[in-house]
Amino acid sequence: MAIKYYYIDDDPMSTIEETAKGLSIHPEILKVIPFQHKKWENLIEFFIDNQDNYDGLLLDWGLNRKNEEGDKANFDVEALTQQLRRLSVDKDILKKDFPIILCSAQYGFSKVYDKLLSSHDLFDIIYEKDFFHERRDIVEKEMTDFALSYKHIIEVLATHDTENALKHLFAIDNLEKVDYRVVDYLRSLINEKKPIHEIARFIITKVVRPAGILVDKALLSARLGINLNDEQDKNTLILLKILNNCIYKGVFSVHNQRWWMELVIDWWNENFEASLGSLSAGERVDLLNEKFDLSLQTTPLLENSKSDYYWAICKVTQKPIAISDGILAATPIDKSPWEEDEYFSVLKAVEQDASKVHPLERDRLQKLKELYTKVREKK
Amino acid sequence: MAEENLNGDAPSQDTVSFSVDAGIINRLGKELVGRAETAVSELVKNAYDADATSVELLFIDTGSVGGTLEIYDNGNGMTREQLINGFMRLSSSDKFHNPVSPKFLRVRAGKKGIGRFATQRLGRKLTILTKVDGAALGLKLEVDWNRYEIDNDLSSIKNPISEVELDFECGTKLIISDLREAWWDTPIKRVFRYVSDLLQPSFLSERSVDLNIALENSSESFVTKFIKISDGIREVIADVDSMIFDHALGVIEGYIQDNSGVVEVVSARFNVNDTIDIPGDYHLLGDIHFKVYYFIYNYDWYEGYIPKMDYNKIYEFGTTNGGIRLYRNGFRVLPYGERGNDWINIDKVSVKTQDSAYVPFNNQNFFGFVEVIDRSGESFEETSSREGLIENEAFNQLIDFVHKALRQAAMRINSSRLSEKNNRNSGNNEEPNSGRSSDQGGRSTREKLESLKGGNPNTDSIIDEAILKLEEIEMLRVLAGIGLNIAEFTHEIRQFIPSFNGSITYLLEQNFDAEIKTSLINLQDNFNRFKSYTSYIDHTITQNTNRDKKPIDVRSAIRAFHEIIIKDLSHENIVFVDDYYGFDLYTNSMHPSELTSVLYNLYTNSKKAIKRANRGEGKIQVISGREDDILYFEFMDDGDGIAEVNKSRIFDAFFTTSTPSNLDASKNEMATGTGLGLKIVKDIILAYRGRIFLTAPEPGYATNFRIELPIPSQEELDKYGY
Repeated sequence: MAIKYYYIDDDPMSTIEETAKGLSIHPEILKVIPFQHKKWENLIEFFIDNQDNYDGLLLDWGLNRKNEEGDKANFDVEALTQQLRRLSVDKDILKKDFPIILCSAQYGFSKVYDKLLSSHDLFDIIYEKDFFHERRDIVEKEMTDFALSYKHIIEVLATHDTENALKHLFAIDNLEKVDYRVVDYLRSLINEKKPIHEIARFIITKVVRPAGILVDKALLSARLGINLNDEQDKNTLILLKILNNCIYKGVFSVHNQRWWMELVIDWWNENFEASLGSLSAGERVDLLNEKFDLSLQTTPLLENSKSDYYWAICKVTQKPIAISDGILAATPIDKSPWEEDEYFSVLKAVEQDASKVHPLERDRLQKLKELYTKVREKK
Repeated sequence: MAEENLNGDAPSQDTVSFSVDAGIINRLGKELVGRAETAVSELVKNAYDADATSVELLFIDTGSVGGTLEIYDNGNGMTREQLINGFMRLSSSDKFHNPVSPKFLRVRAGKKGIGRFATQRLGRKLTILTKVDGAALGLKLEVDWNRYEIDNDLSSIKNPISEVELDFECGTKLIISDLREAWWDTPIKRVFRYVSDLLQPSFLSERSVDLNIALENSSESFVTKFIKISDGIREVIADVDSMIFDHALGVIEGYIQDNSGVVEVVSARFNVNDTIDIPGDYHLLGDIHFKVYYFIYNYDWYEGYIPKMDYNKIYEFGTTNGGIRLYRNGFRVLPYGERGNDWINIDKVSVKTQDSAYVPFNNQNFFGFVEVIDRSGESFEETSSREGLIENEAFNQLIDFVHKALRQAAMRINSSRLSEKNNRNSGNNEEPNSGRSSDQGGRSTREKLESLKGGNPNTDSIIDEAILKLEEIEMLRVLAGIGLNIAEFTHEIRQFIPSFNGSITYLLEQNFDAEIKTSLINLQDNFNRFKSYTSYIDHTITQNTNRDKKPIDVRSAIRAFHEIIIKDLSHENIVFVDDYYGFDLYTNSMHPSELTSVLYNLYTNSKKAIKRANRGEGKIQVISGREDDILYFEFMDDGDGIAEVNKSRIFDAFFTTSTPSNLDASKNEMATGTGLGLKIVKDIILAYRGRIFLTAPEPGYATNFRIELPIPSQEELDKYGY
């Protein structure tokens, strides 16, 4: 069954129909159905009456024009979303919870939105409409993954007790592989019957996206000492296949590929004596090549890096660095203990404002800036 | 407990009943009513329970012990029976039997049976004057609490009651004299705060009183006034105005004049006193009027004006009473302005000032009323169920007007608030250069200047120079206008881009033959090239919405600029190289859009030079760094270079080597032909006390513009957190 999104915009029907078509070119996977906005009451009623016909909403930011009936929106989409979230808590009226995505044609909207609005927690995804074209594959994947994940969470919670629900959400039998604080917090969310969008938000922002419990391909590459993005290389593909069991297959896993770090470590320990972190990249790759009869290439040291005991990646370039070569980035205020620290490689760190690096690294950064300043020859 | 005979027979040898010592009054008074302030607030609550709409408290000569407190309410008053069986009967069950008040059905606020003890707690003597509506005479009861001493039987103490003439229609006046405590402003205000959750300000305006419209003593109105009288001098210590409304951050009044909307905004706090026209179609509104008080719930804006405690009360008051009520011909129409009702669509929008700062805009932020006077009932009709007005065109116009007016007013108040905030933060916001002055009425000034000519050749040349300057300013004004149009145009174009792309993506998926597909792919390519041209303008405009100046890292600015022109560069076959000598290459505080403007003008200039060189390719290099206390960046290209004769003139206005253009050309020609690009660059750089000049290029390049700017002090950088 195709995932269906209702798409609300204030542009003329002929305009938004085409935008929707561009998003629905695989109608068996994703169908985006366009509507013009209506008056507040009518729109809410419309969403309630048609709740069986959509799996998510795509809303345009700033409904300023009149619709074809000549009505202006007497509300903004933040208020609308808030109201829908409220209604979804009160299960009698809106019987479901679903992803709500915000989009805008405004230039650099995601940045503008980031700076201006406090309603960050309201929307599941924010798109500039340019993405619909420039990153169509990703948009399609994200929209379907979010809708399916919401549905999955609803179904799992309805049919399982909390412990089993948690296992299903993460698609893992051993919950100890998930940080106990995450499990504990989610358990309380579920037991207190918190709304689905809150549970979804926590999983996506605190488990799936940040590095820590799960790692992405760049970080996994760094830790194995190789470049997993090189999909032309047969060796890489074989190794990825070997690591198949470590892939995260829980909710929100389709649009962002992640691996369970603990399962990777377990796998390493089953195969090798020496622990992963105690080896240099070259040693890790040698062991892998020997054990699995491969000829993987070690990722070379970055310019100005000294150690190949890669464990982190540069926040800017995503290239591997050893912790000792990294400059600790400033920590976001809402970082949870299970989220890993982020680093800059030296050459990228010196290009940053001091505010972007951790306060304890600022003196070091200053010295590095002086050290790396080029002197221009007098003409 | 001993067996009791409860059959009410006269006492006999066989039975015995409880008797009560008069001292119990004293003990109950002390135990039930701890603080004097609680006692007064209980009496105010009793007035509320008696359906009063106003209560006045006079503290007469209470500066020391022994003064008098008079509490007058315009409530129901008491009959003789009510006085005897209610007030005079201890532990009476009236409030138990009647949990809501008779007239307005208020939920009783007073605690049961506390009132009389409260008066006893407060003073040694009590006089009650009370009268019910319609009665010819009122009652007067006097109680001397001193007589309730231990060892007297409670029922043996008699209190005189008599019928008297009273100067009020109905209500109750308590005169408590020989007060046990002194009362000054602080405890009086405290009482006000205790009772303030009962307050329901009467929103009827003086105007409707003037218009002699039937006024309703509506149930939600309940106001108190705390007045101190010492040595005959009256002073209001606390009432709704002095405790709440006088501290509003803005007072907003709106009305219709000649079918168009007008709103007056006054904010003593932020020095606003404006009258704003609200455009719209309001021909059905006629005699409407609204008055609204505006509050922002953040103590920062009240600090130094009122104590935190008073602010807290305002905040509480706002959360319970905020909203805009609607009165039609003097009568309140429900449910408008009730909690949760958002008929003006205030909660449904979020509002920002022009520079995108947050404007608190929720029902809680407003107290007020809209008053509709429509005696014939033609425009504003109530629904048959009496649950609001019929939502007709007039009603929609009303909503539209009030909404827009409040929004405008809130924006106006907040602009001033934010500029205060900015001043607070930065201390000084002066322009580094106010030399770019605008000139009113250039043409007539020009004529005047022309008429001055003809004397001394020296002065004539000065006059010519001045005239040239004026022309320049006029030209800049024209360009600014065009700039705004372009911004608007680009913004509109963007709305269609996703749709164009959607169509193309969709068509590409169809089973067309190869030729059509090629055509579609070309369409897509061309379209995206077209799109890249909107990016620069968008980028500049987005930066312009933020008018704050700040130090800018030239490296980031150049890289961001490179991103914007990257598609154009490949289209023009130009290689772009950047190189930096040093880190943290900050300019002094400047507008980000101005730096982009400088880069874009230099880029356009280079592009033209490369085209003129006619090699079908070109390169641009930007080098930035710091030398002593200046920041520099050099912008060079391998175009056709600048002829020696022109080198000194390129920064002059209207000097151009590309398109001939003069002041008689059409506006469009002037805008595109310009010759103003480098002039604008120079103006911007000079405004920031910098320099721009031609210098020797790196090997392989033909022209090199070098720009030097002063570097910011460490203090300046710290201020912006760099």
